[in-house]
Amino acid sequence: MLARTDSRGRALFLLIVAALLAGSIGTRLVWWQVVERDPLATAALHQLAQEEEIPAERGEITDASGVVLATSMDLKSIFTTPPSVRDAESSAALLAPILGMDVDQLRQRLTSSDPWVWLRRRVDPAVSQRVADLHLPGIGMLDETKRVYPVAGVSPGTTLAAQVLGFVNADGAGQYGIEGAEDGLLAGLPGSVTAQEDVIGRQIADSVRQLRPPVDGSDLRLTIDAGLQHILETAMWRTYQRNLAKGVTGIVMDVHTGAVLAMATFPSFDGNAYGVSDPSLFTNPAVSRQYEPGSVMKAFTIAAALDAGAITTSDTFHDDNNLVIGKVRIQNADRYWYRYGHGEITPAEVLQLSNNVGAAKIGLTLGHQGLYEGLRRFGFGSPTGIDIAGEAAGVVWNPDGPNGSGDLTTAQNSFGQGLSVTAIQLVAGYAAIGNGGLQVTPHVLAGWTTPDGTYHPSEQPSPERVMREQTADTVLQLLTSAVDDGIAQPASIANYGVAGKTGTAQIAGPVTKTVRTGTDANGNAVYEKVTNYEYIDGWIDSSFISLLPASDPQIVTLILDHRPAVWGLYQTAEPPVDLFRLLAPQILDYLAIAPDRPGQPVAKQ
Amino acid sequence: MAVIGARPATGFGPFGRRARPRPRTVSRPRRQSGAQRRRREWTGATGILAAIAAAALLALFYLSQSAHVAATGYEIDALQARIAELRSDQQQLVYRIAEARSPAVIERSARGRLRLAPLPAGAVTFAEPTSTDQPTR
Repeated sequence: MLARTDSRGRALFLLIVAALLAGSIGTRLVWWQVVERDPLATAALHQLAQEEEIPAERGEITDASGVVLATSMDLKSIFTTPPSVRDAESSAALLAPILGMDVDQLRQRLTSSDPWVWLRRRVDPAVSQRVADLHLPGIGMLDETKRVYPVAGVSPGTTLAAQVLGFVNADGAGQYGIEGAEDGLLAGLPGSVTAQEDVIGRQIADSVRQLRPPVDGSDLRLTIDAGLQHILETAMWRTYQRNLAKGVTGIVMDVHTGAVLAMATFPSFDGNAYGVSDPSLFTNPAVSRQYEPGSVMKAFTIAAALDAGAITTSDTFHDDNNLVIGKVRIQNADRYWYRYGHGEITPAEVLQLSNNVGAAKIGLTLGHQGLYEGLRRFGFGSPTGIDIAGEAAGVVWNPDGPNGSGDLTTAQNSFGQGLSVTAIQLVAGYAAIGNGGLQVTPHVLAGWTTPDGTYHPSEQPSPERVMREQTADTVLQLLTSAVDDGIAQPASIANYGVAGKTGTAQIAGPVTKTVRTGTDANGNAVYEKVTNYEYIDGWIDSSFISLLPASDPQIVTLILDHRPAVWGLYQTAEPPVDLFRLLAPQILDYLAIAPDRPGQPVAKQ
Repeated sequence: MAVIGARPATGFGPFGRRARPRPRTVSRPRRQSGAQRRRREWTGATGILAAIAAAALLALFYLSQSAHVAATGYEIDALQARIAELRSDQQQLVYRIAEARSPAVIERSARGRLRLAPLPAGAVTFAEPTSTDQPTR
């Protein structure tokens, strides 16, 4: 009886346990299958489905004739998973010569405690093939895109127009130059795909849930001509070396459109190896370096004065080589030969002689605001709007403003000191003289082709009239006489008239001097080191700017030497006019610009 | 005709609205012969077999389609890899063409291999326009 009762109880107990177990399992199943069904199903799908980014292809950059200056290549990057490496010693020995790496450095990476380490990124296809052929365990490869600049520059270790183009960094972002300025056009928009993948990571064909195709970047066509760029770079590299200069800049621009045909700067860098280049070389000095231009500004002083009706070409100004304003005495560059100046001189002679006193007197005749507003109107003190990243504005002080010094500022600005400009501003200003008084916007982008094949020419702002046409023509004639009859005569070339102006300006820099600041309690003199910005002997910017051909200018050229080695009174191994005489005929021949003085060997020689 | 039951007029299960029962008719059973009974059993078995066969065919069709899709997926994968390879080759060619068109390379080749030199300055002669150079209509 008792046994029967126990058995029933056990059975009942087991039944209850089983019922509870079944109930809890059932409840859990209902929970998973009914209540939490949708979130769990979504989570499961997410585990299977992978979202992958589809990179957009970055657009190419070509020159005006279609030569590819920048393109992108899919290359392999080599990595290691150290825990999977079997024999680090032999693997390092095999890989080192292929990857061009040190064996010890490679061994260190192969035995790293990190689960995943890059060995070498974006290697040549031949290198990646050799690595793949080794079939080494723990060594893998990933696809990565590399921006490449295939056209070699003139100087060793540079690429053509490197500072115009800029580069693309490891993250795929355009930096500096046109790569930086037009990154939005070039980069495109990456797409994405969400699909289920099999065990080895291949997408299952019918599992694509979401596909957003990438939009490739546009191909850019520049106004730069690779052939002309090569000619200019060859000349600028030559003068950079001969003059032992700190830097050189050369520009050739169309005076009517503002299209930059060539822009060469040295020292430069290799766009394919920007990582090992000096970062200070990445900015383009033609648009970003502000400097005191010197006598090349005299043309603008005369243009502003003529345009305002303050002077005429027959007016004369007395040059006694001694213009004193406050505590500052203004003298001419030829003061050692003409101690008492040149007497009465016309605006034409101011340019021919590059006369500082005459230019200062013209500026003072025009007045503080007249000159200031004139210079601002010609584009100085504001960025030109060129489509290269990092453009500087330059500085022109208002003579009557808080940073101005009244007459002294006006007088100094009249011959190009006490203000700073960029090379591209100067070129744009001279273009206005050459094209009848219109301020054009310098640009290097001719247009772009969208992925659907449509070409869009770049639109520039309408040229703005900054001086009367008659004024521009008059100043052009004065600049022509500055070469035909002036100190710039070495710039004369056969068969062509040249309108141009030389410019030499001192450079200010930090100068530390020990100065007496007072006396101590014992009456001894107290000296302190004081650093001021002063013009430094032997530091100059020397330039020559021209309009060619003088009778109907088509192009404006600038040659600028920054801190060349000097001796005597600013003597250099190769002055800009000497280089111009060699370079200009090549440019004119290349661009097939017909002579305006046929049969004349060298103007007025 | 005899009324033997009723069913809900609308709705389903316990949620349905009960309506007035509708009479259902059942035909009066008829006596069947042995042959007829055997035929009927045979027909039933055939139907089941046919259903099984159809289900098997459907399953086979589904499997073949799945396999086909998977195979197509791998084909697409292989083709994509091929496209990437060809694109890489094309990129290499574009790079080499650009290198070859580089003025520095052309000049080096012209000077070194072909023994050519640039023209001296002013060597280009421009033809003078003459009166006979009028454009023809």
